[in-house]
Amino acid sequence: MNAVLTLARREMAATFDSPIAYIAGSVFLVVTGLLFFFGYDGSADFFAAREATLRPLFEYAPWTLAVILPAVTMRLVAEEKKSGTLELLVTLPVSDLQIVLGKLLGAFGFLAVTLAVTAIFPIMIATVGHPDLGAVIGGYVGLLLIGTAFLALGLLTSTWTHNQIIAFIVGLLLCVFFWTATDALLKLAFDRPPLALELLSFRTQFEAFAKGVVDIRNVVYFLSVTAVAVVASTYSLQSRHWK
Amino acid sequence: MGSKMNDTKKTVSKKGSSRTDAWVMLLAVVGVAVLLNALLTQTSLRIDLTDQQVHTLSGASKKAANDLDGVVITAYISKKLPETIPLPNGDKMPLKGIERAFRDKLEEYVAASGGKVKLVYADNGSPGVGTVEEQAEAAKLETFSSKEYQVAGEELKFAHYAMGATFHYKTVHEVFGKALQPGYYEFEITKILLRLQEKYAAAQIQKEPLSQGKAVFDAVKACNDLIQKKGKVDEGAKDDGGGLSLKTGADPSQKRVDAMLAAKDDIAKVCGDVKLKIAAATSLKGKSQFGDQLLDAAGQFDQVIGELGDVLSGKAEQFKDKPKQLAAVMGQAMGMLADLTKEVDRSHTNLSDSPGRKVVGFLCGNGEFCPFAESEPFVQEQMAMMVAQNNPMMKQIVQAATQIAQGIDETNGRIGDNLFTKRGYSIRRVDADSPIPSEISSLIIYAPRTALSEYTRYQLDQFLLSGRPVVMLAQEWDVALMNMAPGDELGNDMRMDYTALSATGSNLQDVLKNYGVELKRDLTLDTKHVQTVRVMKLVQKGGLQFQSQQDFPYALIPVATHFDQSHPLSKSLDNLALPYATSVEPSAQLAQDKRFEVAKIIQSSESSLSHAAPLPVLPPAVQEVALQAKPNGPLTLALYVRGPFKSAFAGKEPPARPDKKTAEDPMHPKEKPSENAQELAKRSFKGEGVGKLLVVASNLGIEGLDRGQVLKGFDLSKMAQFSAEIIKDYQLWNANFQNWQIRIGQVSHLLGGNLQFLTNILDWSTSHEALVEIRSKGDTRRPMQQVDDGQAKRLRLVTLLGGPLLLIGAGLLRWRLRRARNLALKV
Repeated sequence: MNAVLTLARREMAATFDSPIAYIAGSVFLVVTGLLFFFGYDGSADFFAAREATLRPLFEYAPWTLAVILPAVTMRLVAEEKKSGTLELLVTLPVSDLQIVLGKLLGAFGFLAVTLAVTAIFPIMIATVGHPDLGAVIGGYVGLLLIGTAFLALGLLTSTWTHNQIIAFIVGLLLCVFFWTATDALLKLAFDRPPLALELLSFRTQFEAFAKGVVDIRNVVYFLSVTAVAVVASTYSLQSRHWK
Repeated sequence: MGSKMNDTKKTVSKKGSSRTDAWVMLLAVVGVAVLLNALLTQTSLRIDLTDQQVHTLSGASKKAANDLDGVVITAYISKKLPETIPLPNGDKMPLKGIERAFRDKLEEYVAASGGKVKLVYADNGSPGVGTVEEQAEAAKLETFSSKEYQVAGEELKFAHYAMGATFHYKTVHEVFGKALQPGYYEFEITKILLRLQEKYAAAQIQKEPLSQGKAVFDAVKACNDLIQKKGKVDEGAKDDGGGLSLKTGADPSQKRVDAMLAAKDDIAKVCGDVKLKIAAATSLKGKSQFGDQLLDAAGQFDQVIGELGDVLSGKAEQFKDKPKQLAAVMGQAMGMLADLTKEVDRSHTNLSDSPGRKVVGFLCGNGEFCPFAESEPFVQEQMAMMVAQNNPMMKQIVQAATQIAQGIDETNGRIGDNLFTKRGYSIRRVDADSPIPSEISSLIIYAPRTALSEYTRYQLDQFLLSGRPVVMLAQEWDVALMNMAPGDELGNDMRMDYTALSATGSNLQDVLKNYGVELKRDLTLDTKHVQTVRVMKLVQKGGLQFQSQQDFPYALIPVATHFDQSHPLSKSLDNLALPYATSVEPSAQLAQDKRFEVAKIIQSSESSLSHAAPLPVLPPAVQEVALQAKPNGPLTLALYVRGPFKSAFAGKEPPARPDKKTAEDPMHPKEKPSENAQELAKRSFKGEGVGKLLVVASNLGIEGLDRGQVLKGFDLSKMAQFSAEIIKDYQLWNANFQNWQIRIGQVSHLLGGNLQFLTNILDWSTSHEALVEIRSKGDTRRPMQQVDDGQAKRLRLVTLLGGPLLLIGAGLLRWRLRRARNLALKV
């Protein structure tokens, strides 16, 4: 566990030492903020709706996270592979699983800091109304879970290649697929997708959190996706021994 | 060399085995994850973090599920629901996730009942029972359309969907017809469970009338089925043993006559039962409106059967040797019988649904909000014709006034249907100056604008003392803001700027004084906590004139901020706008009387103040007045009192019922009150009784639309002679009608929340206090303060730039610290 934490600290420091964290974080905050206030087509007006709610944030933040987080995770392994530091890392007395967990935890630190900065939204709303704090907490729990799943998927794609751009693009596609699994892609194949496939969608699983309900089914789902991606990343890292 | 090759083989084999192990391990992890997720779909372990636990069953709902042993819920859910369905206003309602939400909610009730409630799902699978949608329609659910075409055989038709459930408990059942609003699932289901409980208990007492009603309905249905079958003329239909087929090319009229004549004995035997069942239904007569309606419709059915019997037995001489006429009469009789059977069916459904149903009465006749169409025509036809004979122009004015009256009736009827009846409330009109029917469970006196007569006050007094809840909403002021008014003497167009404040003719202040409640007849203003008023005004741009809408913060629409957290009516409220409110307080004597429970359930903010008339009405002017006055809030805007009230008529003679015969209705004089009525009133007089009284010091923005108020001064006797005054009156009636719409439009943005409060009042008044709390869960909206453009811009800027600046600032700080540390290391 100590090894995982040490690796996580190192990863987090590396992330915040590079300007990409600040660029990605700021882009996330500005884009999410614009979507929050004006909607995706600019037709919405948060203040005209006169509702003290954070629902627009929870509606749009997963979209921006799906785009921003693969940009953060793309370098996690791909960069180490390209620069050759991965070989150095694996000589340390840590297992591949610990390396993956450490990197994921480090990236989670970035996610947590970025989401913490979005606290400015509920603070702003509290000055003009009384938002339901329970619903706000529920939404943030959901964002942390969905964000972690995005990070794990991004990390997985980062283990597949030396090229960060490829890692980013594949990671982005994977995250967007899982977020909109039923709404966009499955519609092409089904008139109305079966319930099992609907449940595959992050969006379906996230709905309850946005309402302020933490349901064990949704929590387990996001943790399952994260766990599968972590295990797959571990074996992907191990695959260097198979060549 | 051989050993090296062996090593290489071992390494390759080890690599292959590791790869296989990895894949197996990965598949195992995926398998476990899928299994775990699949198993968890059967559980509902969750934490509801919302303030009022809006997504969790309340204690009252769990208790309702637990109190009934043996409830069977049959859920009808279409296999393939559309993505959206169209709404009447042109918007689309998304249905995504609705099926899961409905199933989850029903299953929550099953879990909460500990096995007492069973849930089954209607299925397409079983042969002979039809599709889920057909089963739902048979179970009297409301199916709905997506307006998407579906190919059925050779024709295109709208696809229909079902989403609802039936609830059976022993001998009674209830229907949740259309479950499309997840926010209200708990409210609707708990309401149904409570209703089943009450209905079953009441049905036990009313077994005899219910079974007699059913016998009458069954007899009517059997007779109608037989007649429709025998007289059916359908070119494409096969003869199924009694029906008709036209394949032979025979004259259909003759065929119908022949078939009916051949079956006349059967018809006489089966249909004769209707008369017998009606005669046997002695315990149904005069006991309830639904029983009477059923007997009335069945009686008419029996009369048509009698006439048809005469025709069939040849007693009707006029049709002898006239088969075509005979067939036409038979066809007409069949149509009437089918219609009457529907009427009997509806009355029977109402009757079997009536046990235990609480009826809310709305007092009408004093300019109140009265959500019913008038039962009597506005002008008697004969009278109108007499006027028309004398003066054709007056005929036109009478017709126009009649149209306004019809518009009023239609609007009121629609309001009643949409706001109350369709939401499952039983409401009934209680005419002023008439006795209050015994079936009324609670009485609403909604913003009267003229004085209640002594007789009405007496009825109200006795109703209150009987222990049934009385709710009074006050409208002490008439606020005309940019209203329509007749033009000048030269007959110019209407003005749109009539602005005035005047007192209504209500005497609620006097009425309430008798019960220790002081209605102040002041105006409640607020400087900070206010809502906006929406004003339409004419704008001139170039040569064009058009209407523009503008919102102004309005001191005359205070927003209440203090709510009694222990009262079911107010505990879930966050804020409530009360237009043109006065204030209400308990008298010093009442406040000190320990026998009474007195609760100031809604109060205005500290920045509010009480102001006497006169007062300017335009928003900036009234704001000016409010800012100059000293706040004396909070003021009470809704007061609840429960306790042993004394009658206001103790020691007095019960007032006589006024004679309502009016000049414009000489053809239909009202029934005179019985001479014994006075004596009976004396005998049944109650001097004291524990009553429940709720007083709200505003009409919640919902003003009554009343014939008497709109068509003020309409007098048919005046119409007989032409005068210029009548033209002026006519303009005024038009203006009055449009002003009602203008006033509602000015506060329309507040009505959502206020109607929610009104339905809470109805729930509370029908003793379902638990439902008040549950209903409010459906409205999770948290209102926000009015934010002006400048403030909105500032908040947007701070929120949009604050986060990134904070992040970049932290980055720069970190960079500087690192640089300082590196420099220190170099040194």
